[in-house]
Formats: sequence, structure tokens, C-alpha cells
Amino acid sequence: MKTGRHNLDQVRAVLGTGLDVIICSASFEERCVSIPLRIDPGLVKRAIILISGRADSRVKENLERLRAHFGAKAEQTVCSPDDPIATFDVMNRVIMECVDGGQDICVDMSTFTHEWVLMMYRVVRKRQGSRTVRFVYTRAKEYAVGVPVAEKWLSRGIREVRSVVGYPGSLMPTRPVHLIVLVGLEFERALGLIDAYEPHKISLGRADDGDQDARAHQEAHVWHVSRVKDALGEADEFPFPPYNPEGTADAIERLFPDETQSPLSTIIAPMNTKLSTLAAAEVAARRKTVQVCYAQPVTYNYDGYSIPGTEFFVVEIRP
Amino acid sequence: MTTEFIKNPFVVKSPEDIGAEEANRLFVNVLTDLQKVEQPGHIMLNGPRGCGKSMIFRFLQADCQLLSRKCALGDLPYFGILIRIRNTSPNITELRRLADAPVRNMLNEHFITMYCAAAIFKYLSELVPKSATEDTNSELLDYYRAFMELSKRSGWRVTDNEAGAMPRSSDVFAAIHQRCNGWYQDTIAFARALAFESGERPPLRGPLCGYMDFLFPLLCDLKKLALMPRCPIYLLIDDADLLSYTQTRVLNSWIATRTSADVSLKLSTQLGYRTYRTSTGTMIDTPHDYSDINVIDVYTTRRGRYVERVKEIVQKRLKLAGLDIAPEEFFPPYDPQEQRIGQIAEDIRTGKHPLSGKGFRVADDVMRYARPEYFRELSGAAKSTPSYFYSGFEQLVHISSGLIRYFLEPAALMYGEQQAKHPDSTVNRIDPSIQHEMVSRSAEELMTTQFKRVGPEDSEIEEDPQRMSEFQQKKYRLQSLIEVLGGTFRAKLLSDDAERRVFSIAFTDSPDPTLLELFELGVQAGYFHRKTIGNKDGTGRTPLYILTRRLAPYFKLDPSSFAGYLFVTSARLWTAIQTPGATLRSIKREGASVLSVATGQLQLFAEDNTVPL
Repeated sequence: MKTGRHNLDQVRAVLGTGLDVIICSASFEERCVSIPLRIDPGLVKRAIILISGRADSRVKENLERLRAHFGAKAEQTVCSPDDPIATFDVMNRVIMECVDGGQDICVDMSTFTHEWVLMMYRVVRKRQGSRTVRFVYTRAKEYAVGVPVAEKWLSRGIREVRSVVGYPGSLMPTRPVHLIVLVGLEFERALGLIDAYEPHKISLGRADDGDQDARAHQEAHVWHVSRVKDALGEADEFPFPPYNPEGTADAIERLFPDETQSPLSTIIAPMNTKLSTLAAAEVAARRKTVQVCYAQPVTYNYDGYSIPGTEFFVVEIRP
Repeated sequence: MTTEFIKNPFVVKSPEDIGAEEANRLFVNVLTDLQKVEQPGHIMLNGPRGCGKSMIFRFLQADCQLLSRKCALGDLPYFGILIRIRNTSPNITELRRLADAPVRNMLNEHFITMYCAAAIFKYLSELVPKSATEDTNSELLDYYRAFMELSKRSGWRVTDNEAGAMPRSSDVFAAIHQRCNGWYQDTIAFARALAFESGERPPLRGPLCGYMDFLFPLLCDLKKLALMPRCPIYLLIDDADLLSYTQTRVLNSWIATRTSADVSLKLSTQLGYRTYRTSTGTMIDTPHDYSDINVIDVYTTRRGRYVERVKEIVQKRLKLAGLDIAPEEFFPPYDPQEQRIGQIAEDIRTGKHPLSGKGFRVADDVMRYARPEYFRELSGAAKSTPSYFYSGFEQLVHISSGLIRYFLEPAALMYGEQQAKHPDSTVNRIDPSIQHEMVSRSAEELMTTQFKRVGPEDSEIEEDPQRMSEFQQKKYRLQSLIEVLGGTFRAKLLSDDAERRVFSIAFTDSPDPTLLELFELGVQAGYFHRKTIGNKDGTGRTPLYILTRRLAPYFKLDPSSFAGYLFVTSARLWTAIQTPGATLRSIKREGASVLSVATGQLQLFAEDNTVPL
């Protein structure tokens, strides 16, 4: 994995050459158009827009903006949040078509769900052959816009907790569970996940205090981590750099016990930036015994989820 | 684990993670019929999340029973082994691809069999002392050979090396555990390959095992070993409703085999058991195939069992955390509020209050009117006046609505919040403001976020847009029903009526099935409890529906209300559900009589002023 960061003004310069297919999503977040609308539609052969089955009016508006921008090259595909198998198959088919067609792929994961990021990564790793695939991500300037730290929320409730397709792990039924949670700004969802698994050991990922990139959201993030810890009574914490996938992968790797310690069944629940979710995917790809899980929320903070920042990241997934 | 426990004494830990000694110290029997569970026979122990089912199963496990009964292994009346079905277990997402495949049933049965077998033999390898295994050398090796034979018959292609590699007698149980774990992993690997829809699927390695051809004979042979007690084996399968639909049907097939004299299946469910059909489509029935036990307690006042049980549980947890404090002191009420209520009570008692003498006894008047009068005072006050504080141990117990988890979970959050606000001091009480904030927040979530999560019991409905649309409509009506009843009970509380503390409704007529379905959905989702009472004509019984007290802070109700209920007619209730906004406005103007026909009194329970859930 190789990560670079750029100003959004540089989208055409950075992505312009070698971009045949852009895969993005139509979301209620403005971030879903930050990169795609800056891409020169003339250079692109296909623009594949994934849309959740539960589209609200903002999603439809953004879909229309994307369609208008890419014109006849736009293709939309519905991916039901309740049918991960079908979504996985869509991703698999799309990636295979692109690779078979010798096309360069760029995936804008800015407004993918964490589950989509994980599944897309799995498919890319399986199908990329000798091609490098780029994942791009627009960072948010602010989350849960305009409300005090203690009132920030991004999603509420848990509809279902499930393993992510492609990451079943190899959990031994009688081994205690170690749950690694990359906490974001959703302490309730984190607690719900912990409640569902009832792990023997919990490791809460907390954005590294020394990470400059994380500073913008640090106060809110620390508040959410504290709430989780207070409710649990005790849990291990570990720092990770949420805008640095390689650093995050290293931080997660350090949590695995050495061979002299009793093995645990490990599950990772990535709930921070999509960049850190890629890191979790990378670790789980290397360690096939690790399961990655996803807690599907009931509802999102549609009205004030985020406002886009001015930077974007490019992560090259090399074969 | 104990270190974490001390940090927050109310953390709801998985009983599986608690040692036998600690489990014995913490265990409080919340079940009226524990004896029934301890008898041979298949059982479904049903109860909402948080009523203590897992703790019961933990207590029934052999290691806890050895400590509790202070007996030797050979003297146990039953041998309980806990098998916890969790989100980590066989229900991985890839298996959904097998939804229509013929191999689905076999693979799922194999999954569950291996899952159970691994848990059983791991437990045995840890519980049975090495000394016991050394004395029965040849018998254990014969047992291992029998295990190999069963596995071969199930398709295990054993190599010559494997056939010759016999474990030591002291390692037989561990060896079987390892084998089963390995076969379980092989099945996961097979499932992993299902992620991609086409091709590249390696064959399934290892045997394909089921209950009757593998697990049951293995357990029967286990019982015959000299080191094992001569008693039935109980497989305590916790959270059985976390299994998938197919896996549930497989488990039902096990129940249908009626093997309980040797091996009894004790299942715990959270009232969300997916189906009672077996893999072949037949139904399992109670009492022929299994017994149903509902873990629902009689929710009572101070003299009642539930309050005392909660008190006992809290006291044990505080003591274990090194806090020798009474629960009432740890969760103090809001003093100014209690003083004012006390003053009103005194006025009533001494005849100074307009309501004095309304009831048959002074004590009745005090109980009936003191707190509701306080609610009335608050309702008429300026907006700057504080609202009712939901605080104090008893209030929290009542709000928990008979489910211990709904006391412990908010208590854990309260403890965390208290600690966060005072990080440098030991927590030896929870501020009333924090108690109030947490239960109010829980009530809000119950009516908003958690309500959105209410889904149909039958997952097939979700796949049918027409049926799903009908279900959504039903949900909308349920929400209206809850809002209307909450508003009605609030109006009743603030009225001049003789009995103001009402949390329940009963029908004067025969409610139509659609209305009953609505209430049933509410019961399943935890918003109502259901009982029956004698009907007004004395000719039979009618259902009584009790709103969960967890919503008391949301609707600003007195959670200690017990005595009364409202009689309603189906017609009035339907009108209210269809026009909730207008109904609530009418109720505000005209009172609860908009909805209710009359108020009933539960004479049957007047003696100790209790109301069954």
C-alpha cells in the first residue's frame, strides 16, 4: 500500500492519466461528489455509481449530479445494504470486467460504508492480477456539523451485526474472543458491537494524539472513546494514525500476541476513517484467521453528517 | 476479568467468562421453576434479553454445581455443559450463498455439531482432573477409538498416521477437542471459498457429522466412562435464537429425536426463536417434545420478590467491588423531591390535604396520592421549575420492568458517567442527576432508535416488498398505540380520579385479531407485557397489556404505579391509533375518559398490591 495526499484542486493532475474507470457512490454526503465532479469526464471510459437501496432525496440529487457530469458513461448499480452477498457479486463482476478489459480502476471510497470498502478491497485483491488499483478518499472538514462534541452523532442503532463477506476468519468455537475496535465518532454503535460479541478482551483504537491529521476531530473522537471505556469499565487502548493506512496496519499488527501467549479468536471492527478500514482489510488479508465484522446501523445523521474538506488521499493497492 | 469487574461493578459480563467461584457468589435465582430446568427433558428457557438466563445456565454447569452442592464429580445429578451461540459462531455471511443449495442442511448441521463437540470436549479437558483420567487408561483409549470409528462412518478419510497416533489417556478429551476444532476450521475454509460466486471451491475435508450419527452416540459412550457421573448430560445452549433459520431447524430436529433421558437439550432464547419446524418440515411441540419456561418475574412493590432479588444482586456486586454500601445509599433519590413528596404524604396522613379520607385507609391514600400530587404540582409549574427526577434505587428497580439487565446496563453507564465527572475520587454513590439523565436517555432511545430496529419475526417477510410494506404500516400503528396510551396514562396521573397510577389496559369487548396482533408485536419488541384478567362480565378472561416502565421517563409517568388499569373498547382504541394526534389533543383537554371506559382495580392482588407482568 502506498498513500499520497493532495489538495482537491489537484484531482485532475493526480488522477487524470491512467484513469479508465471510476467507481464511486451516490450518497447523502456532499463528499460523494468532491472527487468525481473534478474528474474530466472525457478521459473516463466508465463511471460506475453504486447506490444504496435505501436512497433518500439527497442521494437522488447527488446521483443526478454524477449522472449529469459523466453523461452516457455513467452506469448506476443498486447495492442493497441488507444483501451483502449481492453487493459483493456486483463488485466482483465490475472489477473482473475492468481487469479483463485492461482498464485502470480508481475507487472513490469517500462515502462507501465500511463494509463496502472491505468487500471492494477483497475483490480487488483477488482479481487485480498485475494491475495497481487506486482507492481515493476525501477527508471531512467536520462531522456532525454544527453541534457540540457531546452531541455529535453519525449513526444510530444497529440493524444487524455480521461478518464481512471475504473475511470470515477462522474463529475457533472454544477460543476466547479478542475484539479490536477502531473507534470513530459512534460510541453507541461500538458498544452495540461489543455487546453482540461479548469478547473476552477488547482493544479500543484511539487516534494518535501526535497525529496532526487527526487533530481536527480529536476532541470529539476522544469523547467517544471515553464513553465506550466508561461503559465497559476497563478496556485496552492503542493509538493509531487514522489517515495513514500503513501506520494503522502496523498498530493493529502489534496487537497480535506472540506465539508464547494463548491464542485468541480475533475480530476487527473498523469504525474510523475509510483509510484505516483499508488497513484493517490489509491485516485481515494477511491473517486469514482474523474475522472482520460490520454493524449495519438503523439510521444515519442525514442532515448533518459531514462537510467535505479540501484534501484527498490516494492509496495504491499494488499486486 | 475480576479487575475489570471492580472498575465498574455493574458491567454486564458474559457469565461464560466468570469463574465458577465468582458465578456461585453472584448467582441469585431469578427463576421460580429452577427445579423444572434441572429435571431431565428438553427445555426452552425464554425471556427477554437481560432477565438472567445466561447466569442460570452458568450456574447449572458442572463446575458450579460441584461447588454449590459440595459434592464429588460422580455424585452430580446432571452434567451441564454450556454452549454459547454468539455472533462469532457458525452464522457467517458467506453461508447465505447456500440459501437454496441442497447441501445447506447437511453443512449447517455439521457446523453446529462440530461447534457443540468442540465446546463439550474443551470443557471436559479442563474440568476432569488428570488424576481421574490416569486411572481409567484403557477405557479412555477405547473411547478415543470409538470416536475415530464414528468419525470414519461420517466420512473422515483417516490416514494411516492418524489411525496409529493415539493420544495419552489424560489427553483424550483435549485430542477430541482439537480434532473437532480442526474440522470446524475446515468447514470455515470451505465457507470462505463461497465468497466468490463462481468456481474455485475446494472440496470439504473431514467428516460431515450430525447429531444422531455422531454427537449423540459420542455423548452416550461418554456417560459410560467410569470417571463420569451416572446421570443425564445437559447441553445448555445459550442464545439459540442467534442461529440462522436453517440451523434452528436443524436444532429442532435434534429436539424431535427425544433423547432426553440421556442427553437433554436446554435452550435459552430471547423470545426470538426463528421457527419450530424441523429440517423435514414437521413441527416440534410442547410438552411432547420440549417444555417452555418463561423467565418473567412477578414485578412487585417493596414487599415483592423482584425488588429483593435486584437488591441482592446489587449488594453482591458492590461487595465484590469492595464497596460495603447499601443499594439505597448508592443510588440515592433526589432529596428535595422526596422531601416534598414526604410533606404531601404527611398532609394526607394528618388530614390537612384535600385528598385525605378519600380511600378506605389512610395508608391507601398516602400511597395512591402523594407522588401523583407531586406530579400535578410539577405539571402546573413554570417552565423553569425542575421536572420529576427519576432517581433512587426503588425507582430504578421499577423502571427496569422486571428485567435485571435493564437495571444493570443503565447502572453501568451511570457509574461510568459518575467516574468521568469525578475522576479523582472513588465512586460510592451515583448523583441523582446522573441517574435521571441515563434512564431518561434510555427511554428516549427505546421510543426512537430502538423502535426503528423492530423487525418482523419471520425474516422472509423482509424479502417480500408487499409484506414488508404491511409490516411497516403495523409498526407505525404500534408507535401510535404506544404514544396514545402513554399520553392517556399521563392524563390519568394528573387527573382528579381516585386511582391515577395506571400503566395497563384491558378490553371490555373482544378485541379483534388485528388489534391483538399489534399488541403482540409490542410484546415481542419489549414495549408491553401481557397477562389475562377476569373480564367485566365475569364470564371469562381478557388480555391485560402493561406498558413497560422503561418508558416512564419518556411519558413522565410514575413508575411505581401498580394498582389500576383502564378498560378500553376496541373501537375507541382503533380510532385513537388512526388519529393519534387528534386523540392526544382531546386527552389533554378532556382527560383519559377519551379512551377509557372505566378504571379497574386488581382486587385479586390487593392484598400485597402487586401486578403480574
